[in-house]
Amino acid sequence: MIVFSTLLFQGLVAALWLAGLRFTIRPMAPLTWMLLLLVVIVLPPICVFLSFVGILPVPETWALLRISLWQDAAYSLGWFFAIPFGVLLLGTTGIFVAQELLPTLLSSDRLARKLREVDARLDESLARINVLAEGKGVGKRIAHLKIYRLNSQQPLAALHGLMRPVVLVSDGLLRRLKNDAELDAVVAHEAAHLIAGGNRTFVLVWIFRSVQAFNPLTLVAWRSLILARELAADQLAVEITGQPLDLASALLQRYGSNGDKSDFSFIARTRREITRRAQVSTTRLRVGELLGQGHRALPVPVSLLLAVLLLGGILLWVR
Amino acid sequence: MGQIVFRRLRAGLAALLWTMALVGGLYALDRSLWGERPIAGWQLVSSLDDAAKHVGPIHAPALLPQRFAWPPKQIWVNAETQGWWLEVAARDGVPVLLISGQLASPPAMKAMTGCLRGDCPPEWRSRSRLGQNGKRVFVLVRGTELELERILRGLGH
Repeated sequence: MIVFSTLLFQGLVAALWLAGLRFTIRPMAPLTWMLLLLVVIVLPPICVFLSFVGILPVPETWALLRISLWQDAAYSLGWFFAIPFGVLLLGTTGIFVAQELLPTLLSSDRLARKLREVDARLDESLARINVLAEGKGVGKRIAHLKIYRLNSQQPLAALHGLMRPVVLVSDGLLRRLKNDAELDAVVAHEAAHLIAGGNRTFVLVWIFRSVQAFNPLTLVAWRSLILARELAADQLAVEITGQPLDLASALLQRYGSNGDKSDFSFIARTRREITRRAQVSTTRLRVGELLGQGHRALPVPVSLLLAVLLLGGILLWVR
Repeated sequence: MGQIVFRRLRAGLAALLWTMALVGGLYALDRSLWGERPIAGWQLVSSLDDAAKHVGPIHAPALLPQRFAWPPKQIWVNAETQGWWLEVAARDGVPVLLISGQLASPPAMKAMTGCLRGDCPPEWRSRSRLGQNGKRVFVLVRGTELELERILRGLGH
């Protein structure tokens, strides 16, 4: 029980720290924001582990927040506290199971099953991006990246795979993109995901996130991380290509329609509509960021090591 | 280049200041709500001085055999019941001596509770004596009768 409470409290303190940091340091680069969110999700379980195995023991008398006392106070409120709080935690866990765990298990790599082919136009685009990335000093990280055309009418583009990631671009998206500049922007965006850590890092962070599936603040941090990851890839892609408008235009082409409407079951339609609305909202934000790139103050970089030390330093004293 | 370094320093300083403010705020909130109340149940502390703050002076042995490593590997205190347990390990890290101020034990020591009443695991032996403050002290040793006798006799207070 105390492990559970400690995780909750540390998640709360980490979220508070991050919110304050975002307010204090402005404007914050999407890549920095992504890395800070990553730290906020990963550090609490590590600090709890270190505390409970006694690797970094902190005497309880010096603790910043004495969790056992907060827990006692919560217990003393009885059902008035227990019922809403229990509903909140169960609901959060339910969201994790329904929206993340089950879809991951059930879909079990849909993209891998679709037919993929080598495409000369895609290869040329990736070659152009490689040259540009080389000029920016990030070429090595994507030098061995491969790209394939995916046999799907849906407008898809993704960095796929953990060990040997490849970029997949669907027929549907290729048909929608207006020119090679837009295609380059899309390819640069997917390659940027690899530069920013790739799917392996993301899956690792998701494992830490799933340990805290009950924590509403971790849910918020995870959702923010998904968006921040896209914004960071947009930022890196623009740094590589130097063409924010092409990426903005490609994004609008990609999410410009409702896609396939052949499935008429109520659940499928509802789910598709929810996804579409989320995509519209995300796309609006991303396009807004891209259009504002030219006349915005330069983002402030924050050292990742400093962030880890500061937050880790606090969390170890929350026990 | 200089501007980037300056902005990085400024951001680092802002992060540091905000972190310090948060630490101060959380500490003040916790202490203003709960004061310096003793923490319920058993807790590990880092030193005998720290333990004394919770449960008063602790009976530390004046003399220990060479093979024992001092200070104690673990110090458990219970501020509510004024209980304390010391676990001393041999130089190879294996626990060889337990000293307790009461029969109740922290969860980590549950397996040795029977030994306080004479039902000890193989190689272990136990004995108790009344301290000068009138409280009983229990000594559990993985060693010889002579070692047990000497440690018991050398306990302070």
